[in-house]
Amino acid sequence: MLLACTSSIIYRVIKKNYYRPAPLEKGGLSRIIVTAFFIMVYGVTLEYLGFFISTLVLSSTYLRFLKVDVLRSVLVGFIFAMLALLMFPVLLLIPLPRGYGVFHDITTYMLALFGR
Amino acid sequence: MLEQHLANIGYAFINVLTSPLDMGMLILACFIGLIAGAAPGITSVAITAILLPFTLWLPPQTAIIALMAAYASAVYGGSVTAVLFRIPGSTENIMTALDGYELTKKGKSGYALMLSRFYSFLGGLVGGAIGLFFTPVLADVAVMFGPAEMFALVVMAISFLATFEGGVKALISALIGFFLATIGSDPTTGIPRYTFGITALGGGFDLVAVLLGIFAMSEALRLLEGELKMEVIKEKYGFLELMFPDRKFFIKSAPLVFGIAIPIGWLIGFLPGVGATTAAVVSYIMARRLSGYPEKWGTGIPEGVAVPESANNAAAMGTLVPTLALGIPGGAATAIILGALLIHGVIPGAWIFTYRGSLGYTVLVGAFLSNIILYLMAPIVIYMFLKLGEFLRRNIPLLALTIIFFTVFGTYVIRNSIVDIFATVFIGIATYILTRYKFPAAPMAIGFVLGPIAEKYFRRSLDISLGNPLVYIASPISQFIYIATAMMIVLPTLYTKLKERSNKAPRP
Repeated sequence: MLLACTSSIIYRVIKKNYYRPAPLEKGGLSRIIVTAFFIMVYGVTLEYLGFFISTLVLSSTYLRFLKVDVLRSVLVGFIFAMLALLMFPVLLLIPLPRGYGVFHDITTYMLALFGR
Repeated sequence: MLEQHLANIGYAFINVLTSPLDMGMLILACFIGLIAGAAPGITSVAITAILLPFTLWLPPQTAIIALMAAYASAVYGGSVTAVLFRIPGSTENIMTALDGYELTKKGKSGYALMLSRFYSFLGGLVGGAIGLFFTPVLADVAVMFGPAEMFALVVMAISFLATFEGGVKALISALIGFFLATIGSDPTTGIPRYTFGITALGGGFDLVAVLLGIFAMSEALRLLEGELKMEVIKEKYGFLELMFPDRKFFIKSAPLVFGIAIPIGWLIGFLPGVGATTAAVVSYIMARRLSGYPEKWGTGIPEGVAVPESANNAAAMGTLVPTLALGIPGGAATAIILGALLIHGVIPGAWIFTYRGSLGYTVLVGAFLSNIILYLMAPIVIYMFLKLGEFLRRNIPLLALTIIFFTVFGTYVIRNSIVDIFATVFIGIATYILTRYKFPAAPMAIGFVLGPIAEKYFRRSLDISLGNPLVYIASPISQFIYIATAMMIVLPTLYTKLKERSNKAPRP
């Protein structure tokens, strides 16, 4: 019954107030899909690559996809990785994933530089 | 009696102002709270918890003052990112993000930040003053609000959702919020609801993850749908413009701020177990309804920043009352403060207000002073974030990446869970699609905040009354709230209809 009532309300809303949004600009849909995919991949790689490497690599790759030049992409990626490092584990003492294997060693080394 | 009360307050002021340790810790805690509040994911509760171990070596009064100052500063700090990037830094700032961000889009971010600072200060100051003078008197009133009365209060807020722009669409949006709040284990029986056997969903969606999805993630996607360049209006302000609102607006907004936001915010903060987020939501909805121009709310009007900011800071002060006088925490942050009191061997109760130099007065004075320190400190933070916002808005890919970065980390640090990140992305995409079809996003967030509170008090009332449904309207307080709700819904509509009819009537 609840389903029927909800469907009927939704049907009435669609029928009465049907609103067609303006079409997306060229490339808009692909940017949205890639952004959603990028965040999912970022979430997964946080555990395996550690927060430092995954932020560095994925931020740079994402900015390249948005047609930002290589040097600026890498620089911004590095700034964000350092920001994550300084803000959470160093200043606020909030632990972030360090990754596995060699990635764990790199993140631990970076943290050790700031006494953590 | 009154003379002694005033003398105790005066003594507490001298006590705190002349103590270098108290003042030093107040300033430090305000600064840390301000920065942490502006960082998404680090809620006011989280920063209070993080600072707790560092305050253990301090004397009890200094420790409590520092924790309270950090909490109040974080509540204000969250409004900075809410205004500039539509990312509520703390859950208390969800309503500020609506009109604050719209003001930013109009090139008035400095004005919006000044408003949030000034009205946070005002809310905290008036809330602190109410606490100072009335805490010993009002403490007993807090216990008169049982689950049925709390439920009536939530019903009042939910009833006003129907008046949001979008009508049925706003209600559907709120229903989605309610539904999202039901996912996870049943709070009473522990039975899993809508988890589909996925263990990670057993704990339900985290409030921060959902809010960041609704506001921040959907905004990042919206920024990327169009051209990757945005025209930035360069803002210039004089010193006084960044310090105080103009007199005309102050007078115009005074009835909403002093008549609705601060009293309701303080009252909700003062009720045990509700908190400043609910205070901001309820006062925004009520002020919108009673303002006479509800259609303008959410489009970037200054009242939309002034009301929730004054309410959440008044609530932050109000939460101290039941904590200190009854030992019942007003919210999660005050539960931590209560913990700190107990760690220091102080048992809360009416006795802490009974003698000169007692802890109760000192803590309330400290909370009052923290608002003044915060007000003096905030221009530096505003200037920093204003310049950062201007720079990022010139470069959409960088702005989108900044929002994504803070959303991902803000979500992750709450529970160290990747599932929360996926939930944020899913809710962000869903909100983006819904808003493209003109479903407002705010009612969804409100539904998610109020849903669990409504459910908790609804079921608790039934349990206490052994299943008697009349429990909801049994007490005079509940009856008053329901009658007030009905009047506030019916009277403005009736007034509008009568006005329309009198305008249509032919003139002789």
